[in-house]
Amino acid sequence: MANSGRLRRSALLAAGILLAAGILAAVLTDLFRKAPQKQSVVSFAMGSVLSVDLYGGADGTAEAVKNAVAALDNSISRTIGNSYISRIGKNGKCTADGDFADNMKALLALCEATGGAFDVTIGALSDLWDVGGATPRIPTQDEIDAAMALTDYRTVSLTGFQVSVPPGTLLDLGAAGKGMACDAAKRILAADGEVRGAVVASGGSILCYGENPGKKTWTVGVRDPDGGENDLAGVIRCGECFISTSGNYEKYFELDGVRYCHIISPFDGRPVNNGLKSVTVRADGGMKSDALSTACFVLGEEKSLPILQALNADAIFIYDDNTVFATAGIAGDFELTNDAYRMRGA
Amino acid sequence: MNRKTTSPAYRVAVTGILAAAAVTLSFLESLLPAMPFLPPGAKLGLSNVAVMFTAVAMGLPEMLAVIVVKCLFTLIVRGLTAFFISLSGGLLSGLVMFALARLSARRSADGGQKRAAFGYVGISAVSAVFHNLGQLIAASVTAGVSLAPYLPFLVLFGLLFGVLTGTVLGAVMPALRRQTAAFIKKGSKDGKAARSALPDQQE
Amino acid sequence: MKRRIFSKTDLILILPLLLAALAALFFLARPRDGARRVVVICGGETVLEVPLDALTETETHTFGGVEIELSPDGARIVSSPCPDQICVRTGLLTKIGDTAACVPQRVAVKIVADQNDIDAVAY
Repeated sequence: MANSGRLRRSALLAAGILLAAGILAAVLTDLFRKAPQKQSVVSFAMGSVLSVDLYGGADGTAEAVKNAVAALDNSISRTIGNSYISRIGKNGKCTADGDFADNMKALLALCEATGGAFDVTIGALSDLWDVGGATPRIPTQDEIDAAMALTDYRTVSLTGFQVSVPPGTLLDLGAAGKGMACDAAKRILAADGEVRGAVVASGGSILCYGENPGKKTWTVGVRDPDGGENDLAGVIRCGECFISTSGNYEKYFELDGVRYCHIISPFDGRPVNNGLKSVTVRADGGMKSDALSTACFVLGEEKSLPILQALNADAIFIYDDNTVFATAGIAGDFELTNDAYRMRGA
Repeated sequence: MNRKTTSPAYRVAVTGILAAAAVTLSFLESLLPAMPFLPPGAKLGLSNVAVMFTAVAMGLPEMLAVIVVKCLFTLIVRGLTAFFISLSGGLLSGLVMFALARLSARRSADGGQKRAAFGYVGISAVSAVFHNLGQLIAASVTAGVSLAPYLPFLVLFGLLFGVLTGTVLGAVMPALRRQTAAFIKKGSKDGKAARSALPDQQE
Repeated sequence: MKRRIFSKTDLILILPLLLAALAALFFLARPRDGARRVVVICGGETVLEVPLDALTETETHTFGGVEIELSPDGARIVSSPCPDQICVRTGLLTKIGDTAACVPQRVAVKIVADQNDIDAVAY
């Protein structure tokens, strides 16, 4: 009896030793999971999620970014009654402020650079089709023609802080708004000298700022147009830059097997249907990347190339047949991570 | 060793000799050429023979003293980092060694002395593993990165070398006992050799 | 106490450790496919992470006095001011899990699986 007692004690001891060794080993491996200090703030702005990831930076910088984006929203939103855009929509004109005027000037310049493919006066057409709204439908040709008559960025008059449009013309900055939010964010980050690196995402428009601590580049995923929120077609490895995507999968309705997406072409007044599923643009400005992604989606690859080149931007075109084309400046930084897709020519 | 029947002077003297033995063994081992296939930290551990003898023949304070002296030698020869690592491994293995050595199984068939639960080989093997483990943890903390990938190799080599040093101690134990008996006669307070003062009697 | 050189009970101590170590080796030795990246840690902080695919030619970096060479094949510690030079003798690191560390200089290099840490998604 004493024998088995001792033996059991020895066995227990052996088990204890093994357990202790195991725990120590586990402690060893766990002890060294260290990630660089990151501040993350998530909020809601401009109708979608605004997320700010900061490495370094003073207290309150993340908050300041949030506020800057909210201020921007207050000035350009179509849903906030008192925004400049809404006032212009109601009264045909409005006296805004310096920031808004500067933005309008830049936006109009982009309209011109893209030959009108990106057009700030797209409001009448957007409302007509109401894709993603409560009453999407196929308008008649007459209705389309009428709306197209009201769509022309050249009719926007900008004098000092005064903006005016002809009666019936509606400004809609949705195609560039999120990119503009990224521009606002960058101004705040640049003003805070302590930010080592940051990623700001306003909806699907991305700002990569500074350096990714300990890593060579930032990694930005490009959504798989056919997949869910977390499905990617590929990744872009980049330094400081702005990235935006326009696609036919964000808002759409389908009728008789045809998909009508929310991006309306100012040229024919209809939702874009040219074989592209999405276009992702990388540029040195947020407004630029956002406006360009819309313009390139409207224009298609061939007509987009000279514009991209002139504006020092690059793009990735994803087609309905799952082929992908990346312009020369970004081809080396883009990697497909999804078997369903293949690079054109590969 | 019975604290009541041995003088402090005896204990200090013997501990000193054992510490010197540990240091000497450590030094001799450092003269061996490094074998390339050994993972960092896998040592033969010859000095553990002396440490283990102290553990069974004397007590916990004496064993700890030997360990510390051995590590101080490392401090002088190889610097502060090596000292920290050595001490970490040495103390951990020493404590495990002492605990295991203290355990007894049933009394032997003749109803006389208690029988040790574990043999020299077992105690030595396990404490060698813990020596390596203690060193690995200290090295990881110093380097700032987890060195856990080395662990399986260090366990295996610890077991192997531990078995070796345990066998060595077991082999020389009779000779050491005889030597100790002579000291005890000189060191015991009443001049008589107390049988229980002798370290492990081999079966 | 009476003590043997080797008791049967010693196996209760040795066998579990032996089996655990062998099992660990077996599991860790499975080659893990996939993109590899080199991680360099100095003083407890990650100072460099590079996917091996991103390397087109050999480059050398020095952290904490330790010279590290990165190439499309892998990474290795070229030189170090430490007395033991264990880190240098470790040689070329190629497989996921391979590690070389210079403890006195607090520098470590290891190969890990390259999970794309996505910083953001454009959609």
